[in-house]
Amino acid sequence: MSSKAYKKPPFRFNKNFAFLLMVLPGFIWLVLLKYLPMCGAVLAFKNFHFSRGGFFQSLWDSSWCGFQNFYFLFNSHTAWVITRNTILYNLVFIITGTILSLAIAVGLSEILNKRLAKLYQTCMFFPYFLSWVVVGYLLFGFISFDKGSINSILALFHIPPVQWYDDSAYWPYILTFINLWKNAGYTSVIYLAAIIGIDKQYYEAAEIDGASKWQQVRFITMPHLKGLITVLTLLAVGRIFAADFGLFYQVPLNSGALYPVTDVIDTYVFRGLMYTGDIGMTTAAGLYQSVVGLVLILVVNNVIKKYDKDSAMF
Amino acid sequence: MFNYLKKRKILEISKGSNIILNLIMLILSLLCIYPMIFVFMISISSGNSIATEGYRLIPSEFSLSAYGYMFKIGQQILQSYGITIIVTVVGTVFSVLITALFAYAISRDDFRFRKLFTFIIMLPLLFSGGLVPFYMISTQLLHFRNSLLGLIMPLALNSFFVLILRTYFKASNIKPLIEAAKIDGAGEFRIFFQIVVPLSLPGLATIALFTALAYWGDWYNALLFIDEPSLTPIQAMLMNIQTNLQFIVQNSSSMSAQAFEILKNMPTDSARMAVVVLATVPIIFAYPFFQRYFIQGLTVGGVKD
Amino acid sequence: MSEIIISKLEKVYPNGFKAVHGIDLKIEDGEFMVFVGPSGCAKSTVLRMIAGLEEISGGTISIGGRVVNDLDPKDRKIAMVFQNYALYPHMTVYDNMAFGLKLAKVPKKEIDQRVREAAVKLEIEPLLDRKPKDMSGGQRQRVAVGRAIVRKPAVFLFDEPLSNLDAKLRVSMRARLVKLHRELQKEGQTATMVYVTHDQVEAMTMGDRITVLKEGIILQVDTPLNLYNFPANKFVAGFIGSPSMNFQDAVLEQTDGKFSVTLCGCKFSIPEEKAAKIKKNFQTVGKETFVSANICFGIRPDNIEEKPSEANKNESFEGEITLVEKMGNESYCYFKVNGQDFVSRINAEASAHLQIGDKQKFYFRMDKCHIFDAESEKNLSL
Repeated sequence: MSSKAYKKPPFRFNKNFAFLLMVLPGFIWLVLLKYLPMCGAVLAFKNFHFSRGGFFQSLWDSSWCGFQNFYFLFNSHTAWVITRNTILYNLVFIITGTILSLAIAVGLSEILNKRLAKLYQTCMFFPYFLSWVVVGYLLFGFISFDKGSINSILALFHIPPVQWYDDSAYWPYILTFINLWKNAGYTSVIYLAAIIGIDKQYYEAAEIDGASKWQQVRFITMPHLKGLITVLTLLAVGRIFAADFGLFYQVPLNSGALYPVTDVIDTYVFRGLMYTGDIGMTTAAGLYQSVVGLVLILVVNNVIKKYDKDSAMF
Repeated sequence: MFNYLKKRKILEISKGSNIILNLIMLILSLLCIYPMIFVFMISISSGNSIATEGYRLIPSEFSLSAYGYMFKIGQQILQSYGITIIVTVVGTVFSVLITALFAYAISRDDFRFRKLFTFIIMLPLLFSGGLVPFYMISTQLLHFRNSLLGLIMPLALNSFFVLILRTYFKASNIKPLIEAAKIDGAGEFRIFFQIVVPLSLPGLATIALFTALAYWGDWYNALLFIDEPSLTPIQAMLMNIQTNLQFIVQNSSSMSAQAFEILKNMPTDSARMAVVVLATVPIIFAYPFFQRYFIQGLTVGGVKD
Repeated sequence: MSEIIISKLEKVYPNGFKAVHGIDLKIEDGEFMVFVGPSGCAKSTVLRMIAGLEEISGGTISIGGRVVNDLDPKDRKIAMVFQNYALYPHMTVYDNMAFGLKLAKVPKKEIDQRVREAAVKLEIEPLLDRKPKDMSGGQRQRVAVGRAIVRKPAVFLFDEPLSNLDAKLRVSMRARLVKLHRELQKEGQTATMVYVTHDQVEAMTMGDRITVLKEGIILQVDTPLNLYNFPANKFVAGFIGSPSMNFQDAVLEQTDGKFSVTLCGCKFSIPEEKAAKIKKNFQTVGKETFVSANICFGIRPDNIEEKPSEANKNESFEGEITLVEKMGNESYCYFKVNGQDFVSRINAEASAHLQIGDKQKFYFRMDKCHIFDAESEKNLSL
């Protein structure tokens, strides 16, 4: 084995030209819809005023204002609320989601009649495919003030009807429940696949040793899933600063009274863009979210690397 | 009896546990599909029964008037369906094409710039400029507003799908076939379309499925870019009629007098739910067929959303 | 017009690893050349560089007088048969064979003619409409060969084509390929074939000449028989022939102008002709004179006999039998002398009575022995 320096082979034009053509459409798309907007984040550092020449002229003409937009943003009470909401909700979603989907996966794997198990899985996977708009309607069928079935049932017990869409106290629970309803089935499919992959012989040995089913789940199934659970959880933590816009915008029917508990960074940015018109501060909020998200993912990726080198993203 | 419940075969849970588990799963499953059934029942409830009893699973009075109205004034609905179908079909084809081409190029070891373009496709997963710059560029530069472009383009390339396909191409043992084709004298594009694609249909189909579902259920891009009723896809239309059922009527019938009459007799609640049903019916019908592929795709490819 | 000239060929990988160390080789027009060697010797790498599937790091390869370093595979007039056949699974046998011709815009009629001709030669005519997955390994391999034939290339390249087949099939395919080579030659089609294998039996039975490679270097290029009888070094000697040659560290001595070899405590004298050659060769390894020298003594199992004869002139020692493998027509007899293991080939009758533990005298045919220099492993007795 020698250590002669490696000389790069000559550039094969025809072949590489073909490959370049292949990536060209995607590349153009990326430049226009991902990289250009990244540059557009400079908006956060400008005092944006519309001038006569259209958007890009206005951008050019607007003055730099340093971190002023961020200053305003963080000084407002809203920044605190939306950040808190985003993080807390995601935290709760991660914990409840992992526990429930694991439980479902284990349960489905143990059910004796496999065809029934498939049927249950099919049913529980279904909500994942409904759009948040539709889910908003489904919920409405239950908690509509005058016609919803929940209020009707309450009436049977002589409990006064609840203005669900005005009362913010219930929404943390409602949103958590809805998030579970929509996603638990989907996540359980992933865990179930991993469970099926566990070698039967572990369980056979445990049986011989006299372990109960519960013990088998604790000492065989769970350890085998540890890697997958860790990776999925850490990935979710890396995205803890980003909320599922549809869940928080559609399901509460965009009711303003609920903002203190349903407003997240994504909805705030959206409203800022469409209604408020304070471009600078809104961009600042979005940029703040992206940067923190990036830092989180890099940290999380390094953590994964230490734990299980192959699962790391890069 | 007790002993029967307690007994279990090797590696299986006891009959008693099985019953309990089945019960729990049954409840969860019903929980998942009940709301859809409920909404369907609302859509066939008569206006009267809704007014007196509210939404009920089994209304006291049935009526298909909501759907009848849909037929009469259904132009908007048909238009929205049409838009959604066009966007989904065109979008999926276009998306799978550019995604597969990109993924294939970066899966080939002899592509000189492979690492560069892999980085280019991965970076957006980590960092983005945020909604505002994206919106500004889409509307000011790319003219997405009130255009089919605004519905198709944003979803056309998904970095996750590119990476999944790249892994798929790498894992399928096509390298010897590519070499044989090179010796046979095929150029790179011919190799891709005549050799690689026919052999990668399962992977491409899975991605196509994920993509089509994303297009079908998309309301966000319409929310951002579309206010023209004739370009509104179904899910977005659903949003619009949340508070304003008149939206459908006004955009379908031309005469205001007619509109007024219809509005007066509109079975509002059941009609709303009827639209929901109509928007979701294709998914419901296709679901038993494609859910199997979805599960395969999720598990075999190790997809992490 | 289809000779291959390899000159100072090198291959360096991006991580700096040098796989091929500047080799030179001339493969004659129409020759069946076999590349053989252990895993990692770069035989496949060299083949793929000839094909154009690997970049050449240094040196040149020319086919039919043209330097092909910068030519695409399709322009090199080659055809290749892969280890895993590499048939297009979604096409029929016919389409697999016709694919390259279609791309070269050969007229349909001629494509049909060539495909059917090749199919007849390989007895795969009834399979033309089938897809690869509906065929056995042997059939698929024949289709792969057919795909190569129809291209009428200047050079055929084979990359361990038989290693995925079972033993019996391998034997019949071997014969078929050799037959094919002769047929093509008779028809006047140039049929230079370069064949890579790790199986020395394939090498010995198929090649006009064999190139033995080790770790990116050519050790010897010669006809099979010459490699067997006159191996240039210890590695080639041990690689060719099965069971492989017996090697034993020994001491070479000279008394009264006669050479002798001492191994396992016994002394064997070396015949005159061989002694002369050894003397001549010693000078080439930088040793002028010697009193005694450490060498490696090599003798093939077939040159160890169980009774005295004219040929072995009674040179013998006594060994204890450790194992007798009865092959039917002959037996491999393993024995130990002073703790060192040897194996000999004895015919069935003579070995019928041999048992483990027997003490038996074994006779060496010293005229067929080989003396290898301890350091350079070069064969001094040629």
